[in-house]
Amino acid sequence: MNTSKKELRVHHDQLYTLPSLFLEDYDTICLGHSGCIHKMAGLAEEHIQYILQQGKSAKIELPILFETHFERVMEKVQQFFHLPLNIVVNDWGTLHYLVSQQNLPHVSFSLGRQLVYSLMNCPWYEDILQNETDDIRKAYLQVNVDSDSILALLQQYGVKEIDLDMGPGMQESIQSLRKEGIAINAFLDYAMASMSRSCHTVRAYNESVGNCGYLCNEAIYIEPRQRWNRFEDTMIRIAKENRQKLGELIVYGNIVVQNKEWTGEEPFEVDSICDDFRFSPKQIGQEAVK
Amino acid sequence: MLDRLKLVAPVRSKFMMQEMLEAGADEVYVGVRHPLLQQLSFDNRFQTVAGYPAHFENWESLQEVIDLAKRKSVQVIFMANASYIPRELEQAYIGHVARAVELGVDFVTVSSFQTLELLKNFQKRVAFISGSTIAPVNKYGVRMLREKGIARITVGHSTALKEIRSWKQEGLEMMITGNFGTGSVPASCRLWESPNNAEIGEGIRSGYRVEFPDGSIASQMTLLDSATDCSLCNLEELVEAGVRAIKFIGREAPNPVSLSLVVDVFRQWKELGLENVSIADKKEIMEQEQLMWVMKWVPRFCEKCRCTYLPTRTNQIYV
Repeated sequence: MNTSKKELRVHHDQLYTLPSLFLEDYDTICLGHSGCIHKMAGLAEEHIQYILQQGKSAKIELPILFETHFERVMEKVQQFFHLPLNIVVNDWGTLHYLVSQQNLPHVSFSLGRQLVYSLMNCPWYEDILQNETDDIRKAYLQVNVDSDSILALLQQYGVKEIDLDMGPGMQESIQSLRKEGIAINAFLDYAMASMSRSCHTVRAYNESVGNCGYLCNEAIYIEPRQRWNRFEDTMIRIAKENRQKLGELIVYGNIVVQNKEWTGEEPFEVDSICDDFRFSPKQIGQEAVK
Repeated sequence: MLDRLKLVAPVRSKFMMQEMLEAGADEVYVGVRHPLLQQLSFDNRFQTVAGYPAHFENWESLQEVIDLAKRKSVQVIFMANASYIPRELEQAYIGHVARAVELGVDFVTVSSFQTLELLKNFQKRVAFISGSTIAPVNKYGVRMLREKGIARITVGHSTALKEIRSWKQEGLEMMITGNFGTGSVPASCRLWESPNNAEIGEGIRSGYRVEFPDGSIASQMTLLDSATDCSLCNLEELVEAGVRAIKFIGREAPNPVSLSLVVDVFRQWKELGLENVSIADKKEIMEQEQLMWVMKWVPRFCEKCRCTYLPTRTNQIYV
């Protein structure tokens, strides 16, 4: 994949621990979270100032903002809006709100991975598509925002960039989106598979929300073993061959990612590649030392 | 107020329609398979699930059901709620919905801003419902849907009652899902069941072998399952909050008769509510009169704390 730009996504509490040499690789640093406002506790203007002082572009990713937290989170985030900043939004309502605000000359918007996907982002998409014709299979690997009507909406809302979990069959969509002026920020591994509002990690550790931020720094690995039958409320054992098709998933808090890297096909261009250490078993400390 | 609550039932055949009418459905929702697609569809349900169909096979059989619905004053919702339509299929999709509109459906459900825009020419002829994949999570999302011409929104499973209440002033009809929640945020969950493999179900409710960071292992755990499945005890509050419809999942139900019993239970609770019968008394009546209540409902929903709106461990840790 060809690009000259790289982005780093980390938790803000790791930012100051990263050596300058490591940061040299990156043009943009993004803080924030894809799924939980509680992982944003402590995020402050100083963090953004630090990124800008390093000569990097700064981004903040906003999780899906549920009604209960919306005003509180927005009040805090808006304090940063006098700085040059890209906001990654993960729900349409938040984008709708932000765009309706006047006087945001320094702020631009991206769509996050909760809003951008393709059928191939299902870990077992090949099983789902197996009986479709070649044309249909190819068509459904397109990215969901690759349509004239969504492009018009993005233009209306001033969205210039999208995050995208890369996968096979997306080249045409990527070319089409880039042609329309939408930059592609590509994620090559640990694709988003699911997000829930009731936190998996908090449930697993019987912790309470708000005291839980440390729990989701480490990966919980899960392998499907039983299918749930909706109508009988029973579990059906998954045979070994099917378990292999399903692969392994990793849980970080309320986020589930696929444990696989996309190795790519023939080279094509994107606008940046993002190393996301928030939902990856790669330890940023060790990577920084390397 | 409860008399304003509509029960919205799934239908895939004339037989299922008759069962749902008998159970007291006020509206039904339907989908039709498209010949270009084998298992995919132009709505949010695969053509078969565990071998059972979810769609009408052809337009003639749907016409028969629409005619029956008109005679019974039951409104028909056409499901066109695909989360996206590839460019090459946009015209086929528009044609598909056009056919349903010609047959006289009352509503069309969409689940993306793409498809809403593709179908905007139909907005004068039918009302539009937004599906769960574009379910709003805050009032600005509700406003966006209203401004785009949506008449009724589907409220996501993981929405708290107080949040629903705060959206009432936005002036849109709200619909909740009555059964079979997943617990995930619909647009963000890509762990779909496979229509081609009886062992690949909704990943969010699957059983997993779990390996924790300290190396400990649980060989069988439904770690991702935060599903909520029942809202019976909150019907009055939901209506007060602005909810006007409850939709039941299950076009692909193996046994439409069993599913119609779920609709029937909700109808009875609604009617008992209209007579101001207390929750405790409603439960007692159910125990005496409904075998399904004792055999299935209580063990499956009450004992497992699957309440969507009563406080439970699941919804008390919403982020």
